[in-house]
Amino acid sequence: MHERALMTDLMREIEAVAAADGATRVTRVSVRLGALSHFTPEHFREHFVDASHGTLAEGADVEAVLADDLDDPRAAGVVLESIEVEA
Amino acid sequence: MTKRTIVTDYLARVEGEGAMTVKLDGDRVEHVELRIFEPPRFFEAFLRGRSFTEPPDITARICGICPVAYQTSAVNAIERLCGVEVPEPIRLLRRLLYCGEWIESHALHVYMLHAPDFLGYDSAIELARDAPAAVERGLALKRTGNDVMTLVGGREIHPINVRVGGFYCVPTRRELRALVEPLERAREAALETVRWTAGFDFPERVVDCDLVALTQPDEYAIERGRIRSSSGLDLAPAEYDEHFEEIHVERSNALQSQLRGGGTYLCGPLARYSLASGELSPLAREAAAEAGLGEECRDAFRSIVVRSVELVHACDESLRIIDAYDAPERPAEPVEPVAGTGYGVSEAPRGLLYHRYRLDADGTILDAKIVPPTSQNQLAIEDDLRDVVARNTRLDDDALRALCEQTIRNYDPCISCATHFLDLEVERR
Amino acid sequence: MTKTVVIGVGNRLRGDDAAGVAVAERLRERVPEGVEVVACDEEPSRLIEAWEGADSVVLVDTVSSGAPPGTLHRFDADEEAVPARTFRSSTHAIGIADTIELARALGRLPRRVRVYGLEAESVAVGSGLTPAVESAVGFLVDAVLHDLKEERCTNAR
Repeated sequence: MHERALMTDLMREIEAVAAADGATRVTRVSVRLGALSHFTPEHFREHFVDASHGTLAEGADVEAVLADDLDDPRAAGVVLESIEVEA
Repeated sequence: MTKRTIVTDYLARVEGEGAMTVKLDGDRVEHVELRIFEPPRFFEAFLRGRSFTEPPDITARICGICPVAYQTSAVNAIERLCGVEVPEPIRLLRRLLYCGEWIESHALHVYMLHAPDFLGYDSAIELARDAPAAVERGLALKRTGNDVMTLVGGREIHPINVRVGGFYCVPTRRELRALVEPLERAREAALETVRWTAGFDFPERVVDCDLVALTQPDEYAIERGRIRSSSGLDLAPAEYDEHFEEIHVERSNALQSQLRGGGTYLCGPLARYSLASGELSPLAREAAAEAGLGEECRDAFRSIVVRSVELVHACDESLRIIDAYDAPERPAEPVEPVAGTGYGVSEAPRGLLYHRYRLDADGTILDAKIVPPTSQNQLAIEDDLRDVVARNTRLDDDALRALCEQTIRNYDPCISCATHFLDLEVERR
Repeated sequence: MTKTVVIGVGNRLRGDDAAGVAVAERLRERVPEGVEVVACDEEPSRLIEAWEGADSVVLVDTVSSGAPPGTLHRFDADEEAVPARTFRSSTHAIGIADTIELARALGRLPRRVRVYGLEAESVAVGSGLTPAVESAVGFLVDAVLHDLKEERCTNAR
């Protein structure tokens, strides 16, 4: 349930950024998964496919990198590094 | 078609640790979902690669209200795997420490969170303006629980004195005697609490799912016991995973516990009381009878009375342990690590807490699993919420939120620690 | 002699939520004589006990009001209620805003109550203070020390 809540927040941000840019589609999403985020890249992709269904980001490529620094203040979270959009 | 990359560097966060989503189609309830933040999952990752001596210290930090429960389930699991059974005086000291936590946690829930619901107040603050004596009684009870935890646990918020094999140091008989007078006063206050809560008005709300609690011959199980259910299960802690499973909920990634093969169950005060009310102290049994409780209680709203009865029992039990206390010969038994899997359970104030650790031969933790009572109770809470929402679809969002919060507070999940926690999202069509 | 208590509130293991406790720890060696420093979680009875018998209390906690991380808020709670939503806390028992009001209702609030709220960035489990909050902690320590000295002069007059 924690993953889902993180995902919901992430999707909200992706859609907001894409909409502000006037994009019609999000083609790639790059994220850094914190060491304590409880996500693996595969796990994240599954969640993303589910959460992006019916949004601008449906079908986007996912680039997910798993961080290993436990002391990073963002270790428990997921950082959305960038998104690639089509106008 | 032009593609561009937008750099965001945005940290995703979890909004609201208690959030509830309701989808309504006219008067029909399509979907009810409760989200509860689940810290143990971080801690499971945290524990991997650490030494087998560390779980009691690390897991105690999961919850500021029930650290002793986490410590106890952790040492139970590890000691069992390593073939160590602590001597009786150590076990009883741990039980005393645990009673302190029950007193603290139940007093907090009954007085600060639950009672205002029954008396028509928004919060304990308003209750304190009209009935300061009652709130002071609750604070005094809580303080006694804190005092027990501080003396035996070494510190109240995150007790530091519990270790694998026993304690770092143990109190003398004389030191424990200092708790007798406050505990006797607390016991009176607890009896008063039972009389007070028994007089509230209770809407009817019967819990019809399976009830699961620890039981132990000749005692009201707290720090040890076998896992039993109202449907007849009788399991050793090691058999937990064979009978209970965490399931992924459709369209969500929530993990919720259920009986294998499907089946909602509830743990906590109602389950403990219904499975073992006969093992309560005579005074607690008497108080329960006067309050109109039978041998079982499946009434969600009356859980406040059951908690009050358990307060009496915890005070009584603390006094009994102190009276019979002989300091152990040494504060801890030596424990050598053993490769394998250890299982530990105990009765946290809000219900069964399960820990499992897999160790290698030098005592490094390879894998840890923690199932807190709140996630075990989540399906039962959602069932109740679905029903409450279905019968009140005409209410506006604020009134519905208040009703849902009250419903949730009956089960005392971790999130009800906050007075007004619920982010309710209602989608109406 | 009047008694002053400084209470840092928070959870060490939850990112910026540790800020109140960090302030308390850094103040401990530096406060004027006679000032007591306590690190505490938000559990109400413990807070009320911590300031029992004090004439003046300074509380430090993290807040979430939507301001930029590291922003410092200050309230004089003896004069007015502190905004509960700003100090809203779901990780511990009852937030300090509620605890202050509970104590006020019971007549157990010290004569002077100052509350500092430090805007948090992340309260995720298992992370340390974020840089913005870390630097605000140092500033806050000085601010509290300044307050305590000023109070002393006022009392001596």
